[in-house]
Amino acid sequence: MSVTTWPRRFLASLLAIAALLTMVWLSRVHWRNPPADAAELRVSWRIPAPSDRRCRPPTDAELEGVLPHMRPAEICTDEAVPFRLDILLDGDTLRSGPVAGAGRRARAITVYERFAIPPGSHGIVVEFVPEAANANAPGARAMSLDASVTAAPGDVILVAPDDNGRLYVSGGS
Amino acid sequence: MLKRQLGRVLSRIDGWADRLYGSKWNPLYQSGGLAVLCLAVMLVTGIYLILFYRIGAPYESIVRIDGQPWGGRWIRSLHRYAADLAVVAVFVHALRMFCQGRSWGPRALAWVSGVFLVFLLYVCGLTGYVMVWDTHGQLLAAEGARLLDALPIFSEPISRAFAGADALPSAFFFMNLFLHIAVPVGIVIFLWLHVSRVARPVLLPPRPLLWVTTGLLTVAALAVPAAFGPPADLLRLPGEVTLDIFYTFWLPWVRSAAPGVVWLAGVAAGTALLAVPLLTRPRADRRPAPSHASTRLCTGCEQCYTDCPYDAIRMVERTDDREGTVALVNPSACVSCGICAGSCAPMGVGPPGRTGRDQLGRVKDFVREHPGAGGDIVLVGCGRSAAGADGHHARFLVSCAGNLHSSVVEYLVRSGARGVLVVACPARDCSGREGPKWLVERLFHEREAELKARVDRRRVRVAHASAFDPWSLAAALGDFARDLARLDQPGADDDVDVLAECELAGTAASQDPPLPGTGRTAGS
Repeated sequence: MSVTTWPRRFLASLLAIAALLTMVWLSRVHWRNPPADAAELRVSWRIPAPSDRRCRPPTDAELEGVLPHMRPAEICTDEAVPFRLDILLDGDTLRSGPVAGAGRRARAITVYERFAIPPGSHGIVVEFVPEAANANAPGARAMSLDASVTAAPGDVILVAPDDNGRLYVSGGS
Repeated sequence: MLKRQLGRVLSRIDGWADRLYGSKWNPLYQSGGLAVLCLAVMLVTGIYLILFYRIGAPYESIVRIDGQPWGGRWIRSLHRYAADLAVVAVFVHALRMFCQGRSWGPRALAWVSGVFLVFLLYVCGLTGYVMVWDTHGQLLAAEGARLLDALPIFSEPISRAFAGADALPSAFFFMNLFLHIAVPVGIVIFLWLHVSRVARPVLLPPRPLLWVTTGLLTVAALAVPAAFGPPADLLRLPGEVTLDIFYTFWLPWVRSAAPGVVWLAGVAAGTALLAVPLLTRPRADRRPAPSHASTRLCTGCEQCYTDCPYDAIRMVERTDDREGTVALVNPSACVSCGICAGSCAPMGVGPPGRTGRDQLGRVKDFVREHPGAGGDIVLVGCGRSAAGADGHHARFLVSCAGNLHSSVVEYLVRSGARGVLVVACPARDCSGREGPKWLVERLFHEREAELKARVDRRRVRVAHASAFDPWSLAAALGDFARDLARLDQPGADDDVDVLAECELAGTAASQDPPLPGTGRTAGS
């Protein structure tokens, strides 16, 4: 190998190592996930949607033309009970409105709400109640929570029901 | 316009890299092979890692793997760095194909399958990061779920799984692991599709480059083990996250963008990539015409069928009154590289205007127009090589060195040229894939359409030099001129056994020895 190839080989090796080190460095770039000084409030549950079943005897017009053995004793409608969800933080409304299960018939009602909140002490109020017209439907049970929490930066405050269907708060202090 | 500008920048970088590493070992020319090598490294290291991974305790199993300083830690790091290098190699490979216009027509399948390969590579990489289940993995999973929730696919938000109310089910990690293992199977299938239209695909880089790359990755894995963050905690917002720029460069932007915007951007980027074959296709009147085989001249020797780098020629039974087979070009598979023109001794096949006969007609005009070139070295080469940039010697340019018919070289030598230096692109950068390889075989190794024995091969030489590599061309010219000067000394022929010399020259060309003082290769 001639003398002139040595500097070139050295430079080539140096460049390869530099490229490798750059690749290694780029594979471990630290990133502060913004916002650094925020906390989060999560409200999450999934319940079987209670349904409001209403039945009535068929009218003569409805039975007309229907074969005797095909005539129903009663005609029923089966509709999912809509709920209303209100979430308040320190008296300010974060969310207020109806929640319904997917589809017309009884399906599960899923609630999943996330709100960025400032760290510190907060009063949280959550109301999950069936709409007034369906309040007496079987299984249409309300859930509510009124709690105070303290969230540190990066904390997640989670509001979820326990096994008995009562809302509780976890996370924070 | 963009393609041309990028192409010029890339060619300049190629030139410098050629000067440093030599065209044979220039990693930029081996980008596709390096990507496959990285996949192979990931496969081997992944098999080891899977033995220690537990879907019931993902983070703990990673900590356990990382606790094996002479086993798991560097193997996992090697797995990671190979994945990173694969992205770099794939990006360079795609950029090269784009700039060189190798993305449309018969090559569209390779481009489109390449886009899907990139997608699968990313799915594989991202599921790999989720497997670690540190804060980075948690953020990726949560963001992925948020984006999927924006699509009208799921009846319930899947993001709720990451709410923190319940521990994540093992089924999630099982599905993630399944994807991480199953997607490479898809990669293999698409890789097959990717190279299905080329003959003799080269899937790996040359061995020295293969071992050096693997060695460098291993050294990096030993010296700087791959990092991972604190364990995922669904009841904490991931604060400080260690990003891998190659896979999760998009995370900071996506984190602050609406899902709809992210999907729109993703679909737009994907559509743009898939549309490249249409966008880069030249206008109909500028598209090079595919090769055509003359049934009258074809002798059925099958050499064009053998040499075609794209399997675009097949041999069919003759339908005229002669017996045997005849070459038939499939226009939809032909990229008009013209390599068949150089392979056909009776000059019966090739793209219109570039057959051996056309070349011979042109070289006759060339000799008439350059009467003074008789006593000098004549450069013959493709326009993409350094021959296209040289202004000091008479140049006879062909579309590809592999396109060159040996009779052109013979004509130049017999017309009195002092020597003929054929300048080809670096072997792994030939737009016709195998042009330089077949050229050397035809000129020095008696491959069909060979340079006739009556031609003094000492006056013919092959050099490889890219467009922005004038150094290699100058070195090759200097060496050639010195050898020719020795040859031109009175009585030089008396001391030389011509037959033995030709034999030696042929052997030297096949081994592609380095040119003295350049580290470059040249057949001589």
